[in-house]
Amino acid sequence: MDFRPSRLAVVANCVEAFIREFFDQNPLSHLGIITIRNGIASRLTDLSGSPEAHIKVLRGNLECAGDASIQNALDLSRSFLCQVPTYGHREVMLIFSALGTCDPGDVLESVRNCKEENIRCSVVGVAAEIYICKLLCEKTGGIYSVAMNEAHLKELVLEHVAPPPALAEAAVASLVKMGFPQRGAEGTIALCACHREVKIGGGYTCPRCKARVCELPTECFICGLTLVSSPHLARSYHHLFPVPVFEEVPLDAKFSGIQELSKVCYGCQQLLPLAGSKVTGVRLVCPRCNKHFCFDCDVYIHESLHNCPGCESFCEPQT
Amino acid sequence: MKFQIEGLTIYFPYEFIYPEQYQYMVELKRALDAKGHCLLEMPTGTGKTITLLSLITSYQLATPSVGKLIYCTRTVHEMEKVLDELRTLQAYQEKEIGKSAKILALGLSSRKNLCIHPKVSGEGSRESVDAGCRKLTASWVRAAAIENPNIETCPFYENYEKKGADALLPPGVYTLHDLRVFGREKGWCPYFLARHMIQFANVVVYNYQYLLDPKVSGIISREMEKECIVVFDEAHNIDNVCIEALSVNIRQQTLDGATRNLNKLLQTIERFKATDANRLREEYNRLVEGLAQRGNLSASDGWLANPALPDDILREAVPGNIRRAEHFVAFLRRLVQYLKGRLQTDKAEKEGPVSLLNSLNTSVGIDQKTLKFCYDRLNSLLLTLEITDIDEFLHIQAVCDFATLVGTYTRGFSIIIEPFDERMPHIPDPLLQLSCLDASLAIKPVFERFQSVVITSGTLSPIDLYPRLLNFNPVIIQSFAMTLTRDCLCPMVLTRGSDQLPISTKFDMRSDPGVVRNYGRLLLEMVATVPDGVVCFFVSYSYMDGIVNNWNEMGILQEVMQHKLVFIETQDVVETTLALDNYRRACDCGRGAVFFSVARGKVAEGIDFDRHYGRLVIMFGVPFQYTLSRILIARLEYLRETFQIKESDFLTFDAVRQAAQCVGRVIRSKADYGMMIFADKRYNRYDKRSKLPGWILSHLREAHLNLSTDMALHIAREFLRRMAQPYDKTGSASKMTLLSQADLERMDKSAPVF
Repeated sequence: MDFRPSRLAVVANCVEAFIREFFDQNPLSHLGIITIRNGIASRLTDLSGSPEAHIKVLRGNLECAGDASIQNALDLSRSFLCQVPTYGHREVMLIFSALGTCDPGDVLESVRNCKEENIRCSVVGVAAEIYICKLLCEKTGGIYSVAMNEAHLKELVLEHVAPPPALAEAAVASLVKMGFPQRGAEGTIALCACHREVKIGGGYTCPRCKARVCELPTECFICGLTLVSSPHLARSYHHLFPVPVFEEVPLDAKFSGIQELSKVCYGCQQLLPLAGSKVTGVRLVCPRCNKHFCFDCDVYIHESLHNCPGCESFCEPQT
Repeated sequence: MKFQIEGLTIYFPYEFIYPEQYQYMVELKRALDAKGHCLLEMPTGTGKTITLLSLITSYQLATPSVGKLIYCTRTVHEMEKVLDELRTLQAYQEKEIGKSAKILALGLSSRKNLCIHPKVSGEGSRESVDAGCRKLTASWVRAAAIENPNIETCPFYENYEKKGADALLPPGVYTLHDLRVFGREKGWCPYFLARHMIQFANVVVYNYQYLLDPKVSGIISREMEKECIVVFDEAHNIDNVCIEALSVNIRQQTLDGATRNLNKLLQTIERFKATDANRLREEYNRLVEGLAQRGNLSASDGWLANPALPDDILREAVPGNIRRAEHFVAFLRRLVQYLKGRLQTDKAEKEGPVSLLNSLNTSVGIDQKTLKFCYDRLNSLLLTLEITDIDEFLHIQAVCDFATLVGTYTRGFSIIIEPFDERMPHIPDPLLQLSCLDASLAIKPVFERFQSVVITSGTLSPIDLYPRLLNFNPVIIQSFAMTLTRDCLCPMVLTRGSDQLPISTKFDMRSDPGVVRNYGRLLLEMVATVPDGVVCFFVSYSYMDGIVNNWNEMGILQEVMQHKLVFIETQDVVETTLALDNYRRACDCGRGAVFFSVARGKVAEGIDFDRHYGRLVIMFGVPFQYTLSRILIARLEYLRETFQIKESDFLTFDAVRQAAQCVGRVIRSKADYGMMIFADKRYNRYDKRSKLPGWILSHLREAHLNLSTDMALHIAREFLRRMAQPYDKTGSASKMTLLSQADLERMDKSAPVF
């Protein structure tokens, strides 16, 4: 007895929080749940996008017994993840409470396969550091962490919500067909395609086949088009190509000799502090476009906007 | 990096140095300056080897008057590791100083490890390879081969001989493997080449035996100059190695074999008499002149030398009654007959060399002086008779060994005759043991001959006992602690089970079902808490067999196997190696495994359980020696009388050093972490606990003493979680664990630091 009321309950809460947070931050991503117990890995939910559905199934299936098998879990998740198109991230997050793995074959072989398929595996341990988990994370580029207590566990699990930044060179550009449906007017009555019921008001209309769906993001149930809204896209997108961290510019004379310091913030046109001026505060520079920003703009750009105005306005077409 | 210690420039191949390594160098340098011996304890995993090599080679560079570095290791594996480190160091020194820093360093091992002859090297045992080699390279075989081309010789040896003094190794660092490769390339015999090159080498790495065992040291280490620096690494058991080097066991089979050998010798003598009587006469004349003139036998044939240490024996002439070959054989026959008679006893006997000599004199008329010469006389005879398959003559050699030792030493030995093995009293298996009681006898010549002898290990506690056991005066005795960035050691003393009953392997308690159950529960709880590898050490094989059987009956073993696979060390080396191999595989693939092993066994001495191979080691009980053993009793008596070491002190010292050695297997580097559980209530007593090495004691907190199983479990969980967190390897400023060159220079200015 180390976590109260029980490890299972604590882990379930963490996973639930993770699922909610995950879809909040990555609305376009999909997620599936696999349980390992009694030496078998079984699929709880398919890769899909609805948080409520996942949580409902998870809540109904809480139990633990027998040995854990990392190999089975990896093989099963690989069979799901290899269908994901190449522009997507393939990630496995393992929340592991056991102290060993009882495998039918060579687990190292599965680790190698995961690496070949570019599946990134991360493990959050509940009890202690286990060699095979460490190896798995090292080989596939994931993160291995072990929880000290309940709060720490939650923290560690939620760390995995933000996807790892994609290397712009590595990502193969490919076009994905998406629809941006219009929200239906209030008060209209229509048959919804997902529940096959009559719904009043709200809902979205697929731009291709005009079918009605209740929630976004989803796939159109009639024509199979991916339906998203643009805020979703923006929120998902920013993790992949994060804005570089701005650096603070020292105000002393040496630096200003090399380069003329701009007087105002590139973002908000407010005055920036200069050597000898009365304006207080910090001056930050974007390492990519060398534009200077004030502190408020820095916070806004990194936490809400996810785009650097300087870089965007000087973006040169790639050749 | 390059830095100064008291005016000496040290070349150290890494960017950073640990503070304890620096201190170690300072102390070592002072000992070398004082031209004295030293005793240094530094925990494993702190880079002892590279520290030693770095300081001593730098010292050699600065003061050319210093001789070779003779580095003694216990195993071939360690030897290779040392040479690998030396190679790194050498590359760095060359980069810094240039070609003038070039040194020659090589490892030397038996023919078995060095032979490249396709047929001979395939032989199984060490003795058969030696004999196989002699069959091809003995001088008379080669002489005969010149006339008769059908006689086989070793092409590698022939090539090497043809080159003569020109057969040289270019400077560099040679491991055994490199020597073999070089030998193959040139077509020279690596073994003889290595032996030849020793006199030119700056660094020689070889086994303890080459210095301590007088039989071997006479040929290999005779040429070493006085200014050499000798290092004994992993020397915590050096007293036992010394004692083994001078002890002889004689069984019934040995004596039967000796009789067969004598018959064969006699036949050969008869044959020689008929064909080549001259040879025997020449030998007789040589013996009259004395053994010192043995030099006229060719060098490669001097394969065995004198176990008797006093020099005067070499100058004396061999006594008249064994000069003639047939007289000597008759003499040996009487000796063997006498020993056979002594073995026909039904009660255990113990006596000193003096009374044995007396009884030999009265019953078969053999006197001490003649006995002294047995060993040399036999070797001379074997050479004269041109006997090559020397592995068959091991029996008679053992007898002669025995005779010479008895003849030479009147103190420090005891003769013990046991009619049967203690464990199987109804099977007669008489054994006559000549047991050396004084470890200082074998190592005394080493101390006397060489200017500086460094004895070092991870566990030399209590460090003041070693100078008394080995009877020498070190100029420096020092024990170093380990600086750690985090508390990666977690020793615990467990005295009670979960039910608060005391646990112990004390003789009257060990078979108590409560104790057995509590030990079982401890193991069970621990395997369910600790990931990957767990190692258990028991006090003896018989105890391990017993308790594992009990656990099996109680169902504990089955439960353990639900969590981890169980592997057991046995007395069979092959079986144990296989078990270890599979143990490692089980740890690698995440299944988890437990290894049951025995303190003082092979595993406890030489196998590392670092990283995930050993996250926890449990020492079940205190590994005392078998106190009813007659040899031990005799040794204890001797220690008390000669060195005033109390029996209980020595026994505790020996037991605790074994325990420390066992638990020390889990930590092999600073990045590693591991727990150690001492599961016996006796460890809680101050006299036992205080004998543990300092680096364990400093982590043994008050709160971790006198624990019960459930408390230990709690500590273990906490510890494992803490250790799994990421940490900063260099350590914070207040607690420096890595020093750079700049740090050292700063320290040097603000000297004296230590």
